[in-house]
Amino acid sequence: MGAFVDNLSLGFAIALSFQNLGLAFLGCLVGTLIGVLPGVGPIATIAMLLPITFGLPPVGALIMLAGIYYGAQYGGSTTAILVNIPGEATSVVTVLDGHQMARQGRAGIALGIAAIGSFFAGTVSTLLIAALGAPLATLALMFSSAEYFSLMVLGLVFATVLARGSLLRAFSMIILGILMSTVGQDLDTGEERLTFGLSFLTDGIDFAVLAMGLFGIAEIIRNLEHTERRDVVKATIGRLLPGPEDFRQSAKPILRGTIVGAVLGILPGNGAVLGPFASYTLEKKLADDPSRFGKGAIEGVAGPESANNAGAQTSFIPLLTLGIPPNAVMALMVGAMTIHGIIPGPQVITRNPDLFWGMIASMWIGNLMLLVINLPLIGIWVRLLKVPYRLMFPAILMFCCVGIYSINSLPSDVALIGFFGLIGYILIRLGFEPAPLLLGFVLGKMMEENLRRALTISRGDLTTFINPWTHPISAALLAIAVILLLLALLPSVKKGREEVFVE
Amino acid sequence: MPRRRIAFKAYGLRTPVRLRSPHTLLAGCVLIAIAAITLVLVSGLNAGQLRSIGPGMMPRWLAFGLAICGIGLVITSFLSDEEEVGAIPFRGSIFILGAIFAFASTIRPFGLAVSGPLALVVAGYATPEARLRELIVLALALTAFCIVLFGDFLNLPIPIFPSQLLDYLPEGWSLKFAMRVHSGLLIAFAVAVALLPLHREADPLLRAVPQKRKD
Repeated sequence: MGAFVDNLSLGFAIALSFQNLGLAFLGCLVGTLIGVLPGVGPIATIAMLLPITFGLPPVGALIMLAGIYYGAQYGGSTTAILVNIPGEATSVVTVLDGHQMARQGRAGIALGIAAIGSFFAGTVSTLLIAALGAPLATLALMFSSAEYFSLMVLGLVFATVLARGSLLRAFSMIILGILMSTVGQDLDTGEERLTFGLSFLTDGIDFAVLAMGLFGIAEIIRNLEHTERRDVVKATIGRLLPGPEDFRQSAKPILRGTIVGAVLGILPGNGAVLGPFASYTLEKKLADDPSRFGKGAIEGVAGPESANNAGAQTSFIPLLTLGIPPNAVMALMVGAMTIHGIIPGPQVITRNPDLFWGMIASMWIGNLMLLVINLPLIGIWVRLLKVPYRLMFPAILMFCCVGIYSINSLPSDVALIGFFGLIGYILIRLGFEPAPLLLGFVLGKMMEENLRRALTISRGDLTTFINPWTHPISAALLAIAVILLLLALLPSVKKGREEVFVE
Repeated sequence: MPRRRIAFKAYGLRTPVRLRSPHTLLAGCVLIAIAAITLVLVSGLNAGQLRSIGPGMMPRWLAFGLAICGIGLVITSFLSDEEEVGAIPFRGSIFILGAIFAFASTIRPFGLAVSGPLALVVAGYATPEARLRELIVLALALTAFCIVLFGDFLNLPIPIFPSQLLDYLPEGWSLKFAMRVHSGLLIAFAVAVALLPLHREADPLLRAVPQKRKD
């Protein structure tokens, strides 16, 4: 306990210096402003703003970077809620109910709950990291390929619950997503798969491009169908901040989301990305009226946003202790840290304690700044919704093109968002949903890599995944997946039977 | 419907099977088509065995899975009704996609100064409510904003000006200075166009929009 308090006080002593506070504020502000632009997701934002930190001393640079990170994440959520474009894998869930809430004139409430939930989750996670950092690293060592694979399978089962419509369609979208993740060079042999001979597909499809096309462009095309329905986002903005009723409904989801996100974030291998999906699944299952989900249920924003932030923070644990970045955003952070002298690895806590704990403390300060900066700004964001759509969508389109081009400087990326936009629109008209496809895509690569590795190790033995003697964790995860799947299928089977009898 | 249903159960396939949801049938066929194309495309890849999986195995399994889902949807289309599908709007898609491809093809040779406004104006016409004047003002203003933000402030490697024109920059003008001057000009133009008084009847730019008569 003494060490816990000592470490945190060391951290805060560093993080609360005037200069560092100023840097945290600046980072959050700039990160949010850039992150909120549609077409510029958290990855692009951090990449763009990284060079600003180069001239600063190491602690200050990392603090500003943490501020940019959170600002970018929150800006991304803001875009997801207001404009229905997920900038990152984790925003896909926020889009589902958050944008519906925006359409109902409750955008301010959605944004407010996202900010507050994230702050709470961030606080809890910071305490968790401080208390349990070292011991939890050992959990990471128990994971091998089979466990990763089973975790991803569990993640995909979560994805089926995201579907508003038929499970069969959701399932087919998941499969299509995994299939799309195989485009590009094969991991082991280097052979090209499904690239149609096009050179820009050799590295596979970029997530940002896919997300932008499927969600952003397809959504714009869809909105243009209904000229009468378009100004659905009501002019009456209503309350800007969540009221007592909203808090009452969101309190428990925020708590549950924090726990789910924190636990999943500690697991290595991008477990954090599953946090929002798991939280959404949980809330939908526990809700009195699950049919509200997908139509603007505040629990669908509160839970996942908290899980998102909790996971984002606790995923620093395997990152800093094992040195393996679980996703692109973390890879950027690792790069930045390396440049400033922190080399992630097991010794980082003992070798640079002031940098490590200063960064942890500044993460919490970053969360606080975010709340302070963004709650007043919500009014401005919400007012943006009043702009007539005929002017909004060309602006969104332009930002999307510029944003996507800025990632890799490839015109083919820009052309691809048009292509995926068309595909996304066709899929939507055929009754499919893009959210499960995106999750399948995100998890697909990791799934395949781990599947192949696990099967190579077990020499082709498929039972290795469920063998409780060699891989108990994997067996447990798959068991949970099966149970969840059955729970999801049972209601529709029962309903189907009833319909036949009713007729 | 009850009679038909009971008849179906009692007499089996002698009752003609009716397609109840062409929408779902199409969806199922699309999936099967994707699966077939995939299988063709990866036929050259070695699938390997379970203990040393080759590059072809995952796509093949996934294609089979997709085909099964497609068949499932096809079967469902005979079993249950689905709601009506509206018309496909071509105007929206064509202009949006046109704008995106216009941007993609002009960004490298001509830079953001050209491709930005071009994409924005083309996209604007995706809706029948397009008004050229508004779009021009928006295009100029937003392009200026993007140039200052992305090109100047953030130093991103996005081409701003056409590469040929860069040779004609006056002596002593740095790229950043040129950007700022250009942005200033864009804003000035935007303001000018916005304030330009035009008579409604004579304005060719407004012809696209059905005007409410003020008498």
